[in-house]
Amino acid sequence: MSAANPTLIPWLSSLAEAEARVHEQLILVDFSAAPG
Amino acid sequence: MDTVTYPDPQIAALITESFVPVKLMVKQHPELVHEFVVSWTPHIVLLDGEGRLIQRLEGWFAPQALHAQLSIGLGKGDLAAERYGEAAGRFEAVVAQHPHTEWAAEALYWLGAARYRKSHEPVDLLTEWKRLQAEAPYSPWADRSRVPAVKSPQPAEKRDA
Repeated sequence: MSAANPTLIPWLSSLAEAEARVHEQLILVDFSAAPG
Repeated sequence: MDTVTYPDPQIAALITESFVPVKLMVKQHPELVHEFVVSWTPHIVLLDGEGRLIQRLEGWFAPQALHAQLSIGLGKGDLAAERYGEAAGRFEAVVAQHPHTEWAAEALYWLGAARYRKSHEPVDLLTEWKRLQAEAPYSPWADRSRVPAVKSPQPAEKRDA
């Protein structure tokens, strides 16, 4: 495994989109200060 | 988080399989920063489908720590949804995967809660909390489990004697 591959996680950039997709799962919201 | 924790294969798998992941830049979402009281980053909130706050994680987490905390969060989500058996299973897994850690102590605390909510039997709560107090006596979670016993009221004639 390389040291960094942030694309492994299919991040969304909208809470509204997450709420539309959520069913049985929890929404994980990462508040970040800078794009990573 | 983006350079060490999220690229970890176990973290990526857990988040991808068990959560709907959202990354928000604080400068672009001031209304949500205000709503969720985000005064510091990194800052993670776990929400259920109704937008209810299930877990809040502030600061940086190493992969193992985040895995444990997210697993506890999943258990608390099950607890909130009244899936007590599933919740207990998740907390038990944290205890087994991270023995003798603060995460295991937290999981034992919530394991007692899950067992009690399922059975309504105080013994189920006390069994796990006594285990917590024995295995992690100095943990803040053990402190939270040391609820003073409620004394049975004395018969009136003795109390008034």
